[in-house]
Amino acid sequence: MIKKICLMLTMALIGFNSYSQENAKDTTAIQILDKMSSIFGELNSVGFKTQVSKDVSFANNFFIKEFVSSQVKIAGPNKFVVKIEGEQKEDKYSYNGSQVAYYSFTNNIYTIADAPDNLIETFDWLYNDFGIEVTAADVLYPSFSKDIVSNMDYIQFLGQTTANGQRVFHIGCSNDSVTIQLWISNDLYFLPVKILITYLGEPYAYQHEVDFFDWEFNQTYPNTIFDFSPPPGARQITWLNQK
Amino acid sequence: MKLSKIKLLGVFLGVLALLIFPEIAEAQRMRAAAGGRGGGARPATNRPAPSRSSTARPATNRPVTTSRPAAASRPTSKAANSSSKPTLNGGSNRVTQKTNNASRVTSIKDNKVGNSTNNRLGNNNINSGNKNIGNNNRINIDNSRNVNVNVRNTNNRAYRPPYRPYPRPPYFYGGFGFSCFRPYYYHPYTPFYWGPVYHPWGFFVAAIATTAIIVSIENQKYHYDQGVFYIQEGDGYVVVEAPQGATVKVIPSEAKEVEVSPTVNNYYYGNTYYEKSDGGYTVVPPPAGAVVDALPEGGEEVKVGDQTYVKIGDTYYLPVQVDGKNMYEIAQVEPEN
Repeated sequence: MIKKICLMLTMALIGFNSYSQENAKDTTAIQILDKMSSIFGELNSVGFKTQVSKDVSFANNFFIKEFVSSQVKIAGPNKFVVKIEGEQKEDKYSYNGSQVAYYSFTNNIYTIADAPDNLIETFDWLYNDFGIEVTAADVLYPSFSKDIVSNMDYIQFLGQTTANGQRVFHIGCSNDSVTIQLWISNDLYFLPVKILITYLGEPYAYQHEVDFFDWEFNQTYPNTIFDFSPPPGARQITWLNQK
Repeated sequence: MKLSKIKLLGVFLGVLALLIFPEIAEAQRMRAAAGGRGGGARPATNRPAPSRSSTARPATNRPVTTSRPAAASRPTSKAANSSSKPTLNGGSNRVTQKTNNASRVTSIKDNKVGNSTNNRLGNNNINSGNKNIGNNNRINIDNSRNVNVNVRNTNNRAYRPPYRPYPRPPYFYGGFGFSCFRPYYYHPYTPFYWGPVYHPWGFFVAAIATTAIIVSIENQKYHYDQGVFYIQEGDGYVVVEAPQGATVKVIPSEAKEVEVSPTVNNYYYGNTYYEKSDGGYTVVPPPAGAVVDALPEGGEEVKVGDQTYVKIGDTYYLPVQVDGKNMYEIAQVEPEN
């Protein structure tokens, strides 16, 4: 009799545990993320615009919001150009397959660094060596959905809603240090419409929000837009590598 | 029948007469035109030439036209659109050449940062080489030789901490926190020229003024003259970084006061900071948080994340603006944790 009770309790605990895990990483959410990741994996080129807002620590106990807009063109396997316009700055990062150039339109200065020969390694290299995070580079990684699943404790499909005038799927993910919400278009392409990241830092949480629009797919971009020629009078400065 | 033939002949003669005397016909047509209707003949397009005087027109002496410049030579053969490039026009013909950009990257790990005197990594020798630094009108300058001495003082500190805490968390980059009091405000780095007696680090002179004094710090003999420290090298002297701790009796009158705290001021001249002491003026590390309005040549602009600093030696200067004037704040760069 005691054995039977123990067995039933064990079964109940196993069942409860598996139920929790199913709920923690929702299949529908993962399928939508997979679909989005697969579509990006099949593209030869992509272009889009973003509006970014982020909390910046201005002083102790004093966050301010910064707004930046950017225009991004990425062509596989080894080219991109990003133009960023923000408060007191207008910058461009361009990658032609061998070098990444940074140019400040506001200050007429530029930097050049020899880069890896493909996009994914270059995104990693820019982040690790120079602290530069290309907008939405994460979603372009082939392992995007796999990384989300392995790094997040909870992944939930939160239903359908409307964001930026589009019908979207709302997905929420979280772990100990961050909460990520994605609004993915409910159409043929499953594109990110909005991403909101909340960093659960100490002592305060702060947010990074990106809105996407004007998507382009498989356009043939002229190579010249990825090249950089220093404008007259521009000065080359040294790029400090943080490694 | 005969009668009809006569009528036909009359009509023929009438037409012939009209052809021979066109004035008559003109008159008739104008009338018809005046009548407005009635199927008048269409006015002839060949008007009679007006009668002109038969006297010869005096020929005006028009200058012979010089040969007109030929029209700008246009390429007779247009660029073919049948290039191997499958583009709109086979590719444009550029006027400017594409440039080969040289990478310029340094690692933060190669620099001595922080407030310690013994955490230098890498080699900071400056080879002044054959660079022609500064103004060519200076005297006693021999730029024709290679000089390879360590113009940097390895015992110097990059800065000394400020007297008050920073109001915001540092900007972390590469394991180091960059702290400044004032907001970043970029302005181009334009080296300041302190006059003919000032020379930047690494500068070689064949002779120094007889008024130069000798200062010894940690077994190294320096020659000090008007705000510049030299060490002897071969048959001349090389300008080096001022050794912190050295005391001199006189500093140049152009030295400016720099506020370090409400009670302490330093004196700044040619990238050297002096603090007034009993024996004169002692060279001290740059005071983090203080601002200066001029930096010497020899610095380089470095992009640190989103901001551009000017780095001179191991000291980072943040471009700022104070009361509308372009200045530089000495940054504190401390290892994380």
